[in-house]
Amino acid sequence: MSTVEEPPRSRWRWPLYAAGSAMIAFGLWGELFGADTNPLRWAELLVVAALAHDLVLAPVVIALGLVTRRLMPARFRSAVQGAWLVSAVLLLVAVPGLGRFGAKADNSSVLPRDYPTGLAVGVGTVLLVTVLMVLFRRVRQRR
Amino acid sequence: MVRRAGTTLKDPTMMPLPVPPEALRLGPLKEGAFTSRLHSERVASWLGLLLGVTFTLCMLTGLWSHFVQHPPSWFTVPAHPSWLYRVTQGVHVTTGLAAVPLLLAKLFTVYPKLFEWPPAKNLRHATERGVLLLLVGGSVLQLATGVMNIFQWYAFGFFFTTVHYWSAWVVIGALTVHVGSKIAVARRGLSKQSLVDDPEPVGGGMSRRGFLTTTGVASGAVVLATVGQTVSPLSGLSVLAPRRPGDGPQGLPVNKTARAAGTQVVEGYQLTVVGASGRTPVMLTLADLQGMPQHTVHLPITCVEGWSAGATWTGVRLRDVLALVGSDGHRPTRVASLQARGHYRSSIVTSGHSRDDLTLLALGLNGEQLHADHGYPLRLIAPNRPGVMQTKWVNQVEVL
Repeated sequence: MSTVEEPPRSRWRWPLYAAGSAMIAFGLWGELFGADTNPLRWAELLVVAALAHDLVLAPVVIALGLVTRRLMPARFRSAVQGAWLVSAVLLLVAVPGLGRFGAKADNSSVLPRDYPTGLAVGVGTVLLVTVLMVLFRRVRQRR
Repeated sequence: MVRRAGTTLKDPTMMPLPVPPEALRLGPLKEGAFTSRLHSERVASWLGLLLGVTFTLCMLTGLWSHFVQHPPSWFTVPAHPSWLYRVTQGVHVTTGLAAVPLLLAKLFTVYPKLFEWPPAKNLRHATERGVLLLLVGGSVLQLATGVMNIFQWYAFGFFFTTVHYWSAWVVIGALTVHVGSKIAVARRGLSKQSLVDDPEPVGGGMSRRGFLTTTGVASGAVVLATVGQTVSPLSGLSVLAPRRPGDGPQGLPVNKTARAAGTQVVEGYQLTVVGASGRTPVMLTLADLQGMPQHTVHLPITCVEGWSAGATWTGVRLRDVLALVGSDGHRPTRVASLQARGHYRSSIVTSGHSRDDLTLLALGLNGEQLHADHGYPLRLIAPNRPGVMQTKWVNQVEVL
């Protein structure tokens, strides 16, 4: 991060620490002793979620960013990065639909859509908008 | 409570911890390992603010849903406005989905902080980082399992509702602590002055403003791609939504089918109405129910999973059924199902609902006899109530 010095801390700090700690304690108490919970599995998945982001997803995104920087001419770079970002998020949200993991043989109202086509339409729209934006910018710069 | 530099020396939580040998400072731990100008305090502050608003809305609507399903003794859920739960649960699922790109963008912006050196300056710093594990892991887990849940992909190995609820308290608590540590930094990051003190480095690629705009667009795209499952006019645009409002038997989606509930065959059906103790229960056949005054209401089914769809229901008022055993509906009533097992085989109806004109034991849907998957022969339908509490295949009504 760019700014080195931390500013003096706010006087709201301690009340917020107290309220936050109480909520964390309440939540942990519930996970441990509440009905229908599974504290071990929850804790395991919480750590897995943090590691999956920090050690897999983030490095992959940064690597793709570096590849884009290497391959793309500067004038297209930000547009390509933007298209990447929106498409990747759509892909991520589409995963459960694409895999049809929750589909029920006796219930066609669950996952009724054609998700591969849906994703293609979504990403296609993103690409179209990106291309139009790049063209628009070039036309404006030439004037 | 502002501590001056002189007093911090006495504070044991601020005593410096030993620094690991410099030789271990490799790869991303090195000074200046991250070069993108997007790793900026200003971007992080803006995304933090947006996430704070989204998470707060998501928590409040989630709490509301929790209270509706588990009302404390001092609270009676009102029956009106009949659309209230539809809106709050729609907001809950929509803000959760909208938070996905915001969270990922925020984590990307502060990613270099993960490799801070030294890893723990003092006890306070170490504690803050421990809370960050709860915040980051908890947030990713809440959103990931939340999205999986609306697609009915129950692969996480725990009962979603309760774990999600308690987990939400941990995440909101960790967020509150995090705001406590960062409020001054965030205020500086959001100020106009930060543009002067920390100007954006020149260079190709995405600008800070461009990154924030793109994240906003991604958020909007995810919302648009899914929100049609509850806002039916947008259904055509919602190409990734887990449900389509008109899709299902009799034009209405189904969560649990009769086959899954084991209620396909209904022979010799009778509804048992149990009044206060000492009164003889009343048994009603389907013909008895059809002979009672019939009412038609237009009410939505609103699933906790975030889809909803309006429908027209015909049947008898719960109030009229309760009157047969001398109850005026002031006492809570349990409505139970033929379904033998399951978390949602019965539900409690409190006075606000059981005395309401719109609360029916429905026999028909959209002009036809109820489909088996919608609860044939009889189901509860009431305003401002989640679908899991609209008990299907009802065979018993009991005044508690």
